[in-house]
This record gives sequence, structure tokens and C-alpha cells, in this order.
Amino acid sequence: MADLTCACGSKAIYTRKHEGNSYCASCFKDQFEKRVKRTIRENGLIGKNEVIVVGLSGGKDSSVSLVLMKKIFGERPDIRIIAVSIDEGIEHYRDKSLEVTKKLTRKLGVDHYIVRFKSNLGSSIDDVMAAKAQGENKNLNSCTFCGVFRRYLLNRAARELGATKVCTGHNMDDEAQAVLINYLKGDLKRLARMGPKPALKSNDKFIPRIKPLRDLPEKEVALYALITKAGNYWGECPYVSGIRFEVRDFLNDVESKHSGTKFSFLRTFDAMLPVLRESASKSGLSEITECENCGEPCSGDVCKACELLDKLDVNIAKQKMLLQELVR
Amino acid sequence: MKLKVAWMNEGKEIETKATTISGILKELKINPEIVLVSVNNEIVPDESEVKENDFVEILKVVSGG
Repeated sequence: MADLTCACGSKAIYTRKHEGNSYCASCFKDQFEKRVKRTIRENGLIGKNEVIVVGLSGGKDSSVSLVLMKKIFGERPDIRIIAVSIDEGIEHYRDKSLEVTKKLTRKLGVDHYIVRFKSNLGSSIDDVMAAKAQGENKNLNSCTFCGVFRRYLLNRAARELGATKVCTGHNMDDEAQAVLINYLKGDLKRLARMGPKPALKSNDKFIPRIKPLRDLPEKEVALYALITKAGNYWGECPYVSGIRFEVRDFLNDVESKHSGTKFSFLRTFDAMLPVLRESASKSGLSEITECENCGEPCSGDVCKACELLDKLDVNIAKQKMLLQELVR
Repeated sequence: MKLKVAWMNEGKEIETKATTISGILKELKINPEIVLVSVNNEIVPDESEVKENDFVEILKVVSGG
């Protein structure tokens, strides 16, 4: 069999199996960028006079997200792009990826802030896991702790930087996994908050999140990162655990046997979303309240961050936000 | 057919009956959804054929955390 070719006649590097089309590097890159622009346009993710904070971990997804934000909106005088990295304090993992973020933001000429768990919460993930190994907080899941505080600190940092949107690198795989996990857990509240555009009722303290890579599978984001050299850090967190990884493997197993499964799964969810949101709204599930302790936006009386920090005996309401290391 | 394969920071020579990347991934029990593959340092689609002494590099692209 001869080499697979792209429609342009060049040698193909990738086949989008559920469509049956093969692409060379150049046509793949164009197709990828068109899809991101379409996601932004069709969902009205970015308008005029925006300050966009891109959550930048240094991994391929967030790096591609920042590169594309800069490429698409970098020349717009009414749009400012800022990168914010959250340092959870995971030795030999986050320290390496932070070096990648510094190099990338310097190369792109994007203002860059680093927010550290240790300075803002009193404990790094390494501290929490070391304490757990000594028998403290036995039921504390590292991914839950990390996820809650990454979102919390990113939202607070974005607000203090005057952001109108928080842009993340979530791809189609991340979204499909989150939908399935919330189904499995029966979490209607979280399901109703998902979707291509922010759905929560407005609250001045909550900065709406956008996910421009949501319509692209993880494998394609990785390919784009490789061929454009947008991201080249492939490290894996040493603490990964929990249902997400079982769901990830399950979805990839089904996808390898039935191409297009993740795509159709997410499209079906999007089609059902208006009904889901209406139902959640009638039940008061989409309301945003403010945490009784720290005043941050949440969906109950006390936010998840304060609930978790109570276990660690830290009160974030008394602390000033520390935005560290402005890297230019 | 003999091939040189690099996977998870390890390089080894394998003897295989597979003639395509898909076939090699199947033999090595690697899900094609989680990897990108290059042959002789060029990224190729999973359906691509391989030949004797090719250098097949398999990069895991699914992140964790």
C-alpha cells in the first residue's frame, strides 16, 4: 500500500477516522485552527473589550490554548491576554512544567503570573500527601483537593487581574469524561453547569470559563502541539487516581472499536443540555451563592475550598491573595 | 520482520508479523487512541505500513493531572 495522502496531494500524517479523511501537517494545522475559531464563534466565547486569563500548566492542552489565543486575538487592541499558572507544589512534576510555562510566555510576550498553593493555602499537595501517608486526613483524595483549589485560586487570580473570561485547555476527551463521571455520580447540578458556553447565573465574583479546545480530541491537540512545537511537556502527575482514569480508559477503549463515539456522546449531551438546565434552574440548582466563610462564589452555604481547608485548619478568608512572580 | 520500537522511555527490537502501525499497536496491546506514532522520525497515520528495520517511536499523548 502506498503512503496515505492528504486531499492536497502531500503525504498524510493523520487520519480522522470517524470522517475517513487523512491530512498532511499543514492541512491538519489549518483544520485544527478553523475548528477552534468555529467553537469560539458559534458559542460567542469571546466578544469585544475582553481580558482573558489563560490557565497555563505547561502541558500540551493549556500551551496550545495560549498559543491559539495569542494567534487569534493577539493583534486585537481591545483584547488583553494574561497567563496564570497554579503551582500545587509537586516536586519533579510541576517545577518542570513551570519552566515550560516561563519559556512559552516569554516567547509569546504574554504577561505571566504564578500562584502557589503553599503561599496561599499554607500547604502544597506534597505536604498534604505526606501528612496523609502519616495517617492524617485518610479520606482526602489528592485530585479532589487539587482540582478544588486550582479552580478556586485561578478564579480569584483572574478576578484580581480584571479578567472577563478564564480560558482553559479542556479538550473533547476531558469533557466527555466529565459528562460521564457526573452521570455516574448522578450529579445533575454539575451536569447543568457544563456545555460549550458558561451557563451559571451571573455573579460578580465568578469569572466565566471558556474552553475553546472542547471540540477537539486529546490526540489531535497533542498532534497540533507536536507539529507547531506549541507544547512539549509530557509529564504525568505522580498522584493521579480516581474514577476519571477508569472512565478515560473506558471511553478510549470504546472509541478504538467504534470511531466517533466520544464526538457523538458529547454532541448528544449538548443537545440535551437546554432541557437539563431548565430542570436544574426550576430546582434552584444553578444558583450561585457566596460562601459564608470566605465570600467566594459557590453553590451551597460553604464553598468546597473552605470545607477542605477546615480539615487542614487553614482559614482563607483571612488571607490576602498572593500573585507571585510576574514573569515578562 | 524485525523492527526497532521505542515506548515508555524504553527501546527494544521486536520480531513481528504485523505490517501496519495498527497491527503493531495491537500486538503490543497499546490503545491507538492514547498514542501518536512516528516511523523513522516522521509522524504517520495508524494505517501506515512498516518495513524491515524501521524505527517505530510510540509517544503516549494522554495526560494525567
